[in-house]
Amino acid sequence: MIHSAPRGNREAAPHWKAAREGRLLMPYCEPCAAWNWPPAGACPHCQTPLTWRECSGAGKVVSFSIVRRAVQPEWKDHAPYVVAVIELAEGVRMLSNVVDCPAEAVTMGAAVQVAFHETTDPELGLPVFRLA
Amino acid sequence: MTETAIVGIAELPQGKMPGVTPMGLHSGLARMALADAGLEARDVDAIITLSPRSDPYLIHATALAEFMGIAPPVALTVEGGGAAPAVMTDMARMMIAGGRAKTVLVVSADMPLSVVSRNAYVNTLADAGPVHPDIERPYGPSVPSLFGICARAYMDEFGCTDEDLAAAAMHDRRHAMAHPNAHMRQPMTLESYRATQMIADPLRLLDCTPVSDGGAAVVVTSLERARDLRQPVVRVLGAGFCAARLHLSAAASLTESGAGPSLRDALAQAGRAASDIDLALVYDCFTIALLMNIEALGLAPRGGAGAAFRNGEFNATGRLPLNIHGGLLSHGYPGRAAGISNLVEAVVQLRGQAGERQLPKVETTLTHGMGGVFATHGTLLLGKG
Repeated sequence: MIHSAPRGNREAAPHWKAAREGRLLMPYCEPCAAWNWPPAGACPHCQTPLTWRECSGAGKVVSFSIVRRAVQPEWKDHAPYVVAVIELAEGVRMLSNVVDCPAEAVTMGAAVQVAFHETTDPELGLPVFRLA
Repeated sequence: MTETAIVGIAELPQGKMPGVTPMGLHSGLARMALADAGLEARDVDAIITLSPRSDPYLIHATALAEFMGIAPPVALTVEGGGAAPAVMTDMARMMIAGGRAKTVLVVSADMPLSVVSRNAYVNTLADAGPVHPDIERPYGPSVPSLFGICARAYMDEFGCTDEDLAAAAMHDRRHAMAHPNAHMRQPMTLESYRATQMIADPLRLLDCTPVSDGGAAVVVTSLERARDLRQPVVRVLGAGFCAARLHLSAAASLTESGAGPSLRDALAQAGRAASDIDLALVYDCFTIALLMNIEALGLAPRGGAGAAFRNGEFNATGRLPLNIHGGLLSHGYPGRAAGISNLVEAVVQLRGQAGERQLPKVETTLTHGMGGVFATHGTLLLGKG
């Protein structure tokens, strides 16, 4: 599916732009040696501007739900679909979709690998995950 | 600090209110609560409201004052998510203690059923409620799915099942059936629970609140003045708040609600111990929210709230009566005003006016509210005068 574009003028913009190029970038604070998601521009602990680090794209399903009744109009025709908290191999967690499998095939702790979907904005992509 | 008391309350049957307008509901509740207290509208010198989804004035409290034909010097429209009842009551206390006001009218009502379509209401929640507009919304999470993620993590961590979720839903329903103002009063069994459709696995329809027209009004004044008014005195003993984050994506844990510090601080302010609490009204927009909030408040061991429901520990005759008005799950979920009925039930029980529902001994009550997906918490402790 072609997703509705995320907001390209907010803190997460580098994340979406990299996804369009097939890379998974996440914000990182060098002095704190800590990931920062949701992205806040600067580290909320030490105020250092965050840098964007590339992640391997490997991860696991921490937990998930199957949306049977979508609420956003653009999702109405796509239920059921899986919304999951993914923990990347680097240790940072993000909300995403597990795609290209029956919803019932997703399990707790399942290994996943990032994939990239197009959006309605040709400059912005969306990281999603497939069962590895 | 000047001590304060709740001297007037009003609540109507929750559910569909055809032919009623949002302002009509607000002013009606306000006048009922003032009459309950034996006060006049002109006595009100501060008014606190939420801006309802069904009537989204930015400066709602002033619009209500105008509608009622009163001109209180202070009119505040606040935002506190599901913790708002505690926020509004505490603001009333602070204004009375600080000398800013003598009679504070709190009105919290919404009409998501009759005035806004249910779909529009649910859609707003998914767009601008607890869902992060940048990093979560593109993935299409419904609010039930965010709580579903917590529910699955909880079931996985503690080995719980849908019977634990159902136990919470059935408890609330059983008690709602005895409450004249409750929205959902049809009997519920494990079988009828399981027969309802999945909304966001593992959450079924009956794990989610209904959407209701409703709300309530409350009048707060000084304890000294309360003693001269017509109702049995209900004191505001303490309030506590906490918020570690807003979005689920920032949560350190998917199975810890984080409500604990709000009760700890409320107890410290009240000079009471947790063992003093003899009625708890706990925020339950979903069954999983009820289980996790009960545990975070220390009212059941971690992973043990479902079993406590099944054992009858939270029944009216159990070790700690809890949500005996039916909770949000069955008493009703009046949109932005959700949670205000927890406060009303505490006052009714402390006054001894609950009729057939009346508990034999109620000295100290806990009223908890939550905003977002386990994001903000507000806890009030009320006590018999």
